Amino acid sequence: MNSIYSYCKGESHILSEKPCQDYAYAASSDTLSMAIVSDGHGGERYFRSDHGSHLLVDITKESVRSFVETIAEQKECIFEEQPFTQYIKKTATDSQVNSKAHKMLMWLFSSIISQWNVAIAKHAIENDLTEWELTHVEEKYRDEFLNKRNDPEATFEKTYGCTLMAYVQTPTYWFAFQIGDGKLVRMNIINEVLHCDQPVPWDSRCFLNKTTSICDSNALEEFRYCYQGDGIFPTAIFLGSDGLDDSYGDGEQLYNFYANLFKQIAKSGKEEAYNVLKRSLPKISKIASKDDMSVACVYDDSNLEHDFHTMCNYQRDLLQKEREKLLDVNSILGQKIDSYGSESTLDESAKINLLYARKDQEKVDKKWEKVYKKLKELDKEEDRFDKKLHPQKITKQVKKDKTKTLSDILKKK
Amino acid sequence: MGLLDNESIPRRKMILFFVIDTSGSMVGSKIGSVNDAIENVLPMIGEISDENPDAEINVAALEFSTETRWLYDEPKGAKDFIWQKVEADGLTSLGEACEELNKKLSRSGGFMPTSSGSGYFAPAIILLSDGGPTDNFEGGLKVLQGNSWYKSAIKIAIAIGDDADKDVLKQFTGSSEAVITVHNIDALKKMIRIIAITSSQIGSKSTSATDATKQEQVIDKVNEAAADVAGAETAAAPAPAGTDSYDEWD
Amino acid sequence: MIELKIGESVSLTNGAQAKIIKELGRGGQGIVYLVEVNGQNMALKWYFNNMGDWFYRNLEDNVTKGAPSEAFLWPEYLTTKQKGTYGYIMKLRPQGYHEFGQYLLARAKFKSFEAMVNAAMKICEGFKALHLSGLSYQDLNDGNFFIHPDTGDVLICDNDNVAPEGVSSGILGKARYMAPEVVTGKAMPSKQTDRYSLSVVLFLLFYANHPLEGARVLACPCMTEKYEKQFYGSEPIFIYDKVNDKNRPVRGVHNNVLRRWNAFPAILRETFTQEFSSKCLSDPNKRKLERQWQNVIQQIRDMLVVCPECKDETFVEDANTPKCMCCGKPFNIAGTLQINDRKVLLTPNTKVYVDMDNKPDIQVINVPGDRYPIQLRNITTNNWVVETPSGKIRSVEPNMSMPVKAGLKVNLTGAIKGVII
Repeated sequence: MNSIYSYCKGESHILSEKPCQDYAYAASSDTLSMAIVSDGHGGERYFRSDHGSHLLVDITKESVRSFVETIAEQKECIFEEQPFTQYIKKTATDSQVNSKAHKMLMWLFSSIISQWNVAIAKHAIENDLTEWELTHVEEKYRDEFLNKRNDPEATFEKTYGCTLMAYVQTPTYWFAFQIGDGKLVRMNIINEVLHCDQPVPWDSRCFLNKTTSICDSNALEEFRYCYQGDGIFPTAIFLGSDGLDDSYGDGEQLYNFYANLFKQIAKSGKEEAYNVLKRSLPKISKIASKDDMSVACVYDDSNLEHDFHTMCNYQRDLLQKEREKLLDVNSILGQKIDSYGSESTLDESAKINLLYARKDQEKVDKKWEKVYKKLKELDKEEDRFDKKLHPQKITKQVKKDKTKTLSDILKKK
Repeated sequence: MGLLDNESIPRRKMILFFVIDTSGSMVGSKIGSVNDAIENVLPMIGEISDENPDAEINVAALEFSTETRWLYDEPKGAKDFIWQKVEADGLTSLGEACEELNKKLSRSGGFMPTSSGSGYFAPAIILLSDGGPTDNFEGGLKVLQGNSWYKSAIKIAIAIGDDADKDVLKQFTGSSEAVITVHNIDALKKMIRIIAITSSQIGSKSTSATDATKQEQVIDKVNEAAADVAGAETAAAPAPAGTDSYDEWD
Repeated sequence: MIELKIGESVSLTNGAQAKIIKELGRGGQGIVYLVEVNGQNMALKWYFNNMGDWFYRNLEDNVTKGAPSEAFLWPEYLTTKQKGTYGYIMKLRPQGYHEFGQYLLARAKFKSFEAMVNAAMKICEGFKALHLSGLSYQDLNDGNFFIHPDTGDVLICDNDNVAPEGVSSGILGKARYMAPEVVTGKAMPSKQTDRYSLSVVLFLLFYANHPLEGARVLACPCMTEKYEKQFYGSEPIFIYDKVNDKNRPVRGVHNNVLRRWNAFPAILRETFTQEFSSKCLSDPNKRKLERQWQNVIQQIRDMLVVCPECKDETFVEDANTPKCMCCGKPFNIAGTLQINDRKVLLTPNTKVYVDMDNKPDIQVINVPGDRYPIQLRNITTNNWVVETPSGKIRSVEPNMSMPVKAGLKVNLTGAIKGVII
């Protein structure tokens, strides 16, 4: 098992001189691998969420370690032989809620929340308002903070509020948990085919820029998790803060990005892949979400060469799917255009619709070309990869795909 | 094919919805102004979309009278949106319009991007009406109020003239500050422009560091601008009595 | 372990047969089946493992003795030893009751504070009855109580571990409910250790969080036996201990007690603070008796009225300035019924419980337009005898009512007399 992680300040934070409020961590060994990401809230009220996320990741790290060690000492492992199991409070069953695994996980989350409360209170008392805070934070929030420092019963969760995602793997089981937004992506290779999904149940309260959080008063109830102890492990797990899925969406585009990351590791090794990731994240933030970006990943590095090809096949399939969609759209547009008949017989409204249909067809053509280019790139990349690893081997003759444009395809028909 | 494949990060999308009352009472200068104003503001929105690296603004228009009709069956880019003049005739099925909106404010079978697509912003909905609903508005609104996209959308309404049911518009937008009443053609055109542009500008920006929601920001800006438009009335500053002057201008 | 099949018959020690109809559920110790015995549907608890001779004899004793009260779902018949194990027959649990644990997880909710208080009273009653029979709990946990959310009625189940005082049936219960001296191994289960469990159950009932689980206990990400022995045994600290604040409830986790602690009457806070103070935790003799708990519960029930403004329930601690804890509005008390040193507050729609049997005795009603707009309706099956200030004697039959008028003396049920002030 191996791991990689990186985080960077978002473009919007650079512009507004705010610190990076994301924090990430990943590490792996024979006995324990984990990946953790925490995203501090951006609103002005949460002006120390960068410290909040940092403290939360550290506490989660230590708590998980302690948790795993304690479980190892028990006679019976709570996850032993358990099939893939998911939990979210809204749809939990009685038997789930009564299981030992659930109770112990809930205890772990309670402990994390409790320790975080203590840590942020300590930080709040020991650290006066900084120069930056005095000049950048609205008075009413600074006052709220100062008043709390003078109140022994006060708590500081809003000022330090953030989300949390974590993945933990041992030789006999794995589990993952989350509170708030961000996406945890699982990659499984089954029968040589890559499958991507998000194993932790989603909370519909996390929508657009709203999220559940460790600073909510019912935080414990908002934790969601999944685990599996029957010997099946993912090939790779990617944790990404919402800066990622606000850039790529939370579906195939995002999976494609992670596939590229995995391939990069296979191509150039972990060190170089880390450098590429570190350089790329700020660029993606600038072009797309503008938000802080963090990625943490735990992956199985025992079969990188083979898995590289599986990833390429996955991406090839995605591109083929896109091609088929484009063909469908093109055919519908074609029928639509034909149905209008001669332009001179049309009224204004129909003429406009005809114009749109023609424009849309052009767009489809352009997209088709782009997809073709990407497929070619993919082939070249696989070639280069093979040559590098096996310079002596004779490369297969790649069948030339002449269907560069849509019209080529249609000609074939 | 590096990690950073510029082309595979499409810009986030924001959809601007025009929901237009085309009932019989809108006949004449009212519907004429609406057509005019929207046609003229679309290129401006297109410019905002082009100059904005954060988001791409698409437009969808729904007209409702006795029945409802979408101008096109999918949102079009603001820049190349070809406006087709709508005509006024019939009743005011606002309830049905709400249900239609609810259908399209979804990912499957609707206008909102599916998960394989890019990121997205909350949509903006601009409602224009001069009267009161003639169908089951409460029922339609209830359905719409359960929709997450609707809940996070920027919602503004223009009440055209004194006969407009401001209470209904307030229910639709969620606050009386989000309802601007206009009393003449000029104000109608100006407010359509101001509201469309403000919603587009604010709606297509990444969430800022301030705590005011986009809805609050839009309402504030629109109310501020409305103060300078003669014939436009906000919730805070009611206009002096008897200011409807459509007949004068007809 | 040999599971039973549908249609199979199991023989009982009284000679009868129990026929298996279907499985109802299973727990840590065994399976519960729906069975038919002499034409009646009942439940059979069938143990996974042979629990041993001692356990069997204890069950036999309990069957013979009978249940301490009707609140107990008690073993009625015993099976013969067969297939390497055995079981017992009990009545079926009626519908509508939820396990206590469900209330703690908010998967079941009380319909009203009245129901919650009734449940508290009934549980105390149950413990009292058990101890009067010379028995004590060995393994108390949240699966023991089934509570009806609307009435607060309580059924006490899983009574197989109940045994004579001072004798251990060999099961060590869940540390959460066990007295510290049992957790550390210093003492065996007894009436006093049960009283500790009772106070824990009552705390959980009212505040839905455990009295000893706060920040200090949560500092450990994973409970181990060693920590259990420490936090529930050798070094227990109450979450609102007056002196030691190291174990306070945790924001984000212990929401329930954080919201309710100051909302419920002070007498409750004071009683629990006393009961879980380090003095009482370490000295079993200082613990409250069931009767004393019932007094406290009666006091808060006397304070529970229906707010005339918003119609929700509220506790009124200061009868001079009543204010609703739900709508926040101040309101007027229609009158007070003094019974000995109890001052029972009256507002329309409030129910009054004159004794501790969990059956309401008086319903305060509105009679608009009447000379006396607020009256007390007799919802018992006995007559009340009323003496007016001028000495006249009147009778109030069941379902009839009397006015809330200062000076009226009412003889409610034999020994209980009250006067309206």
